[in-house]
Amino acid sequence: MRRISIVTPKSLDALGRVIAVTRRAKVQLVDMAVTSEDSLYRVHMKVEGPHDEVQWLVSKLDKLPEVLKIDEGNIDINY
Amino acid sequence: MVDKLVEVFRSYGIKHVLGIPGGSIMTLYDALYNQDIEPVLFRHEQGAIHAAEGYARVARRPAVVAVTSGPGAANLVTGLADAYMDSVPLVAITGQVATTIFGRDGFQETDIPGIVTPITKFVYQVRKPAEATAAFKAAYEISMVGRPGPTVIDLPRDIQASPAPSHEERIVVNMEKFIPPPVDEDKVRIAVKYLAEARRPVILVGGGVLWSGATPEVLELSKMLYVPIVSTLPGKAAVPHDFPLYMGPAGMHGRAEADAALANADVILAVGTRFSDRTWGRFKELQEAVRSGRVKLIHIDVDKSEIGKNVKPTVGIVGDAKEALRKIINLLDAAAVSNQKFVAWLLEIRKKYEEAMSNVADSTSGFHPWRALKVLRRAAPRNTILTTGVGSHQMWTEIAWEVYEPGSYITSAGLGTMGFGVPAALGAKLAARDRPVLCIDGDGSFQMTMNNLALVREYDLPIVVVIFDNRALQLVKQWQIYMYQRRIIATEFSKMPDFLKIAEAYNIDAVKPENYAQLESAVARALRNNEPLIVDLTIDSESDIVLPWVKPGDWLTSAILPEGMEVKLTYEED
Ligand SMILES: Cc1ncc(C[n+]2csc(CCOP(=O)(O)OP(=O)(O)O)c2C)c(N)n1
Ligand SMILES: [Mg+2]
Repeated sequence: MRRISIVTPKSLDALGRVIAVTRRAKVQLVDMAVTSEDSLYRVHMKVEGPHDEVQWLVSKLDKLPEVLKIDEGNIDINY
Repeated sequence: MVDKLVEVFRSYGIKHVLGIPGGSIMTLYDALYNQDIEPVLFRHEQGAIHAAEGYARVARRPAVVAVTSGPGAANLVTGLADAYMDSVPLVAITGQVATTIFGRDGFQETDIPGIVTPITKFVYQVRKPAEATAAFKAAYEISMVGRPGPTVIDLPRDIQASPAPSHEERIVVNMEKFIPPPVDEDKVRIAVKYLAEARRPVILVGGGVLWSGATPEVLELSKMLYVPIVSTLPGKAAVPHDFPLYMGPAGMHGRAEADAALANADVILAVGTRFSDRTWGRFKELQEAVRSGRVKLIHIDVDKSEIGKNVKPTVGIVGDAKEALRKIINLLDAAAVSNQKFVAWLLEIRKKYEEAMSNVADSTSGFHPWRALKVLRRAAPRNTILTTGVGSHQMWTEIAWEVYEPGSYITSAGLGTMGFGVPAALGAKLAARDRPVLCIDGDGSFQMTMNNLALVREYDLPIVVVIFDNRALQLVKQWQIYMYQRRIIATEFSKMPDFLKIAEAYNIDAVKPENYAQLESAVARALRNNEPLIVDLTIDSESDIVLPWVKPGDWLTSAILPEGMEVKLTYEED
């Protein structure tokens, strides 16, 4: 299981774009939480799937201009 | 605030706004009244957006489209998807109902951001007047930075009508990530080592080479190492076809020598390409060869999500193609390789294909698409821009049309959108009125967007359209013949409109040539005199079978070749 953490502007359009990409990934979205902070959303995902597919998802998400920051790591950190 | 928006258009040097007005975009159109930016009125929004694609590719900068909400905006969807697949920069401004009635199913309300989310590089719905100009600037710049792509600004009518705001609100996006990172020198050194040691290196050129302006570097590298060049379908536009080491496009309907080059290479330098199944048929052979080390795959792309997406390369270099290739050239020892035998083998395949096709064309009564394209190439000046529809005629242009100037071949590759040809030709002509523009269309494709021919006279856009009239959706019919045991269904037209009369209705000259000489002289005259022309070219559907053909899911060496072409596409080294 991998963790993906994303920062977007506080906009449901941006969040909708993040979800539109995620639903095309060949991974299982085990858990997802969105928290907000000032003018930002923080999206926390737990995904399960082959390494390459997780990478596909991360790099596709990182193509969105609204994804201000993205990082990926082991599940135990920071969630 | 629309006046401010028009000022921004002007500051970007925008000369044309393509589209159709309507209730929710009237205020923006009104701001163009008596300005030096010309609205170009299409007859269907799909026409406007394909024209924008043609325009952007010729002008090498984003084109601007403006349409009304609801149906106007929804009519852009195919073009946006097309531009997204082929990485074309454009900005579409869609009108929207007033913010006060959002979500109330107002007249012509459609959730356009929701609809276009997966097919745009960026979409922004403006909610406050102060965001409008900033949103447009972001959309314009994002469409062009790094790998290009279409963007959309959804602009509600009350926002358009609001007074100009005193400040501009920032649109928060991360634009820096699109700026290509500096090329990794260590990876370049590894790439150079592989290229220097290669026995059968091949350069695979994708559409990214064109946007990067890396054609000179590709040719220089090819000459230095005597490396054959192969391209994808979009990459075809990036390489002058009279360059002796260019083998043409590879793939489903690529050239046999290009398929052979790719399938037998031991080092592949792939530049600005996304490893489409249309280029490779299937990936299994390549993936296994790369994994086992038999083939060294070097992949250069400005979009890091493309590296390893379909095939994991031996070396992946994220960066601008021109810069990366320049670094490779600087580090290479010119005396490295020169496999004359491999190239000679490829050129022999080319010769055999040309001979076989010539025989096929000789034995065809009436026009054969392959020969018609040779004749048309002679008739057209070297700097002619070619656009195409989608189908067999397009695949024939992939095989047989020679591109001389980079960027002068414009086709719908990734989405394969019938109806692309005529509007794309109009957009190309609008962007370069001094250049001849020729559209090779199918009778099916032509009928999808021919309504936009009205612009030929209205805006004086003299394009030449040659309809490969086989009275069929031929490419699908070819699949039915080979893959569905000739069960021909819903691919033949039994009643056809009279294309000559259609031309007449739009006040455009038309001909139905009876032989190649008539075809050549009619088209040459129209292009030379900058006059519009529609050619109805009768083609026998039964003999219009596009070969080579790598069937979907097959590997490149199993390409079906034309009758009389007895060659193996597997190289045997002696
Ligand atoms: C909008 C759209 N609808 C359907 C298809 C599927 N399709 C691919 S090629 C083709 C036939 C095109 O016919 P025509 O334009 O006459 O070209 P031809 O193959 O006959 O040369 C069809 C229907 C498509 N690519 N695009
Ligand atoms: Mg046809």
